[in-house]
Order: sequence, then structure tokens, then C-alpha cells
Amino acid sequence: MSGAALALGCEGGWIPACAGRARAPVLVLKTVGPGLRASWIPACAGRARAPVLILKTVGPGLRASWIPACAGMTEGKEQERLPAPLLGQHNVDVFCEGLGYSRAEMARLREGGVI
Amino acid sequence: MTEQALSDVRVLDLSDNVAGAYCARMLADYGAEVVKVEPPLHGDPARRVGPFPADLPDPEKSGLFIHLNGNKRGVTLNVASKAGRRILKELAAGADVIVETFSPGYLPSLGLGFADLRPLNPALVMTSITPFGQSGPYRGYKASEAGVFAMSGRMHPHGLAERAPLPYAPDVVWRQVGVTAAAATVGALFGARLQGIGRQVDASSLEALAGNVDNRPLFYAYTGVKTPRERWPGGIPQGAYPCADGYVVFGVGYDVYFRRLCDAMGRPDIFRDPRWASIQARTRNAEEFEAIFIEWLMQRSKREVFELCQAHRVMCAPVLSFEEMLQDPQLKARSFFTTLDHPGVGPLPAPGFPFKMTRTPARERLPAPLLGQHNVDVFCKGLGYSRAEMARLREGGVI
Repeated sequence: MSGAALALGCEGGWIPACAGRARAPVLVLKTVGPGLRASWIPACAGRARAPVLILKTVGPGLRASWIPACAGMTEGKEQERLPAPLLGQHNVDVFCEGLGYSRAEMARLREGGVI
Repeated sequence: MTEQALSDVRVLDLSDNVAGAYCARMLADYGAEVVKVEPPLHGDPARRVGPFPADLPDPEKSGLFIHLNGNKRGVTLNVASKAGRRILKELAAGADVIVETFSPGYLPSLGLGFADLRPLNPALVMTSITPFGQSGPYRGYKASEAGVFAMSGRMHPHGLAERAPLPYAPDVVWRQVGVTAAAATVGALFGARLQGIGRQVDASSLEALAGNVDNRPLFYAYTGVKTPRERWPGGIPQGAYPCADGYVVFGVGYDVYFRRLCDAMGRPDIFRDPRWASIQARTRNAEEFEAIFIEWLMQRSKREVFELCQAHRVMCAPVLSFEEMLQDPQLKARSFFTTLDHPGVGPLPAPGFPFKMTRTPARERLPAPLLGQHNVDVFCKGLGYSRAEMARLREGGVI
């Protein structure tokens, strides 16, 4: 999945959570291994922080769409889920980016059977 | 008084019977201020369902209603009347959540649908619980809980091939739906508070069950194989087996558990026998094993079997009657049962809360309301109606 394809998937979209406040484009989508990870939307920081969770495997590729929690249950828009993770798929996201472990520390943890 | 987790949440419970009432009850148990809104004169149909003390029917003494509506205040209101619609809008303007179980389209036909109320209260959460949801070809259809279960696909393989499929035990489905709706309501409420935007939670009983209480629908999707109505093919022993004083239930599939069971029986040789050395072999030779197994069980009480198997870390449980369940040491040790002191029936033991929470646990604050018990509180003190207006509303059949 290329960055261009991701950008295409996000093109023209706005965050419903910010409706009535600032309407902000989705900025943060990131490839992690074979899958994708969605992060918080910086554009909404300081207002409502809304998770982008909507990444779904479609055939051989991936598709990104919008935020069901923000789109609301009322409108009946499509609600999608993350696919179940591959084993350890988000180790780097969680331990490095989330908790600040370095890649070298990750390697040691892996060698020690910790992760 | 200590605040509870949902102490600042105001809920209008317009539901009747079980699923919606249980949803609102869960919110009430954790501190939400819930007002049960019932039709004048007869109230919620659940008031006419037993058990009743001494088996004498009385709408103020229904065990079902009392259990489902504890921790709520109660008012009467005819929402179909012009004045009733106005009053409901006044209540909705100050509410965080409405729980309702009317047929889809009924509240909108009165000008009380989510789209009508949202302008009055943009952060309102309306949880609408129906058999099939607010849309689709079955949206207006009626269903019993057995009907919902039947259509979920789960009933078809439930039972034995030569017999009719089995339903769940009564009320399990509706309470599962109520729990699902309560979880969705809290999620919607969290979102509404975070973003200032309300939602309607469209809780379909069918969708709460279809594929969400069992993984068998996955079998067809993943393998194309239709699940027959037969014993669960996950190895033996599975399910209820007779013993000296009743039944015990086993969930023994994998080799590790079967080996432990054989040890518990004092028969480690059974696991070494090629007839029972694998799940597939045990399934093929189930009857031979069960002949030995049941003979062993019939020499022991269910409590003995339970304790012996648990000592060997085998998943085994006695099948308890309700009377036995009331005396169960585990539930007693955790103070599960409470005493409900209701003005209609007096103090009676009652099942407690389905989970415990530190710091702000669920607690019994209010007994279930008598019909219209809090009309004055809610309409006069809450909305500012005078006693004279109340009298007119009562005479007009509005409250």
C-alpha cells in the first residue's frame, strides 16, 4: 500500500467530530508492517480528540474511511472495525511510539522473550 | 452521600417489559437518576407478570417489575395526548438519555422522535430497543425473544438432530439485549459529552444476537460448512451428565483437560488408551467412554464431583437449582444477594448486581416505584406544574 493510495483514500474528507468547530482534514494515517495504524487527529487537539479507527482490508489493498463514533449512530453510516491484529503487529506503535522504547530496547526485549 | 459513576446522568425510561427496563436499570444501579415513565392506570405490562407474594396478582407487587425497576423513580404520562407530548418534551430537554421500546415510527408519529427532540437537547442520547431495528423490512414486526433467537441463526443448531431446536431459557435473550443497549448507551453518552453531539442508539435485538453470542456463524463464512444440529464437536465430555444427586456440566475438549479428568477419576490409563487419546478418537468412541464415566459419576454427588474436578483443574460445574444457587458459598462470600425493601412486598432477598466496581459500587438506593409515585416530585418540583394543573392533568387522563 503506497502513501499515494492512502492519500487518495483520505482525499476530500472532513472530520465530523469537528463539525461546528474547526473542520479539519484527516492528517494521520500510517503504514505499520502489513497493516495500518490510525492515530489521534492533531487537528482536533485541544477540541474533541477523535480517534481515527476506520481502516479495513478490501481485497488485496486497504481502504480508509471516516469515523463512525463521530459520524454518529443516528445517521446509520457505515461502522467499520479494525481487523484483528497479526501477532505483535502493533508492538512498535505501542512500545516505541506510545511508551518511548527505542528500537534497540525493542530488540533486546524480543531476544529476551519479553515481547 | 457518595457520588456514583453515573450520578450526574439523567435518564428517562419510556420502555416496557424486560430489555429496555434492564438497560435503564443498569444505568440506575451505577447512579444515574432514572425516571420511569409509564402509561396512566395500568402502567408497564411487566407489573402484571409474577412472581407475586402468596401468588396473588397485584400490579404493585410484581417481582419482575420490582427487580427490573429498582433505583428508579416513577411517573405516569400518556405520551399520546397533546399535554403528554408537551410534558415529555419538557422532560427530554433536561435529560441526558431516553430509553424507549416503542415500535419504530411511533414516537416520530407523535412528534417525539429523535429528530424532533434533538433541537431541544442537542446532546440527547436516545436508545431505541426493538426486535429488528429502526429500518429494514421487518422494522415493524413483533417478536418474542424465542422468535429473535430463532432468526439469529443460533437456534437452528441448538439441540439434537432428531428433536426440535431448543430456545434459550426465558429472559436470557432480552437481558442480553438490555446489556448490549446499556453498553451502547454509555458509549453514546461518552461521545455526546466529549463532542456535544447526541445520538440515537438503534439497538436491534436480532443484531445483538446474530453472530454476537456464538461463533458458529463464522464456521459457514470461513469453511462453507453448514452447522448441523448435533452435539458440539469439540470433544467429550461436553454438557450435562447425571451423577448421584443431579447433574454436573463438563467442558472438556483439549487433551490437557481430558488427561486431568482421567487423573481426577483415578484412571490415567483411559487417556493412554488409543480409543480416547485424541479429540477425534474420543468423539468417535464417545459412548464407550461415557459408559465408564457415568458409572463413576453416579457414585458421587455433584458437589463431590465439582470439588474433585476443580482440584485437578478440570472445567466442571454442578447444575444448581435456584434454591441451591441461593445458598451457594461463592455468591454468599461475595455478598451477591441483597435485600429489597419494597413498600408493596416488604423486605425480600433479591439478586445483586452483575459486577462490582471499586470506590463507587452499585447499590440499592430506591425500591421500584409504585405507579405514579413520583408524579409530584417530577412534575411539580422538577417542571414547575402546580397542584391545580396536576389535578387537571390527572382528570384528563394525561398522568
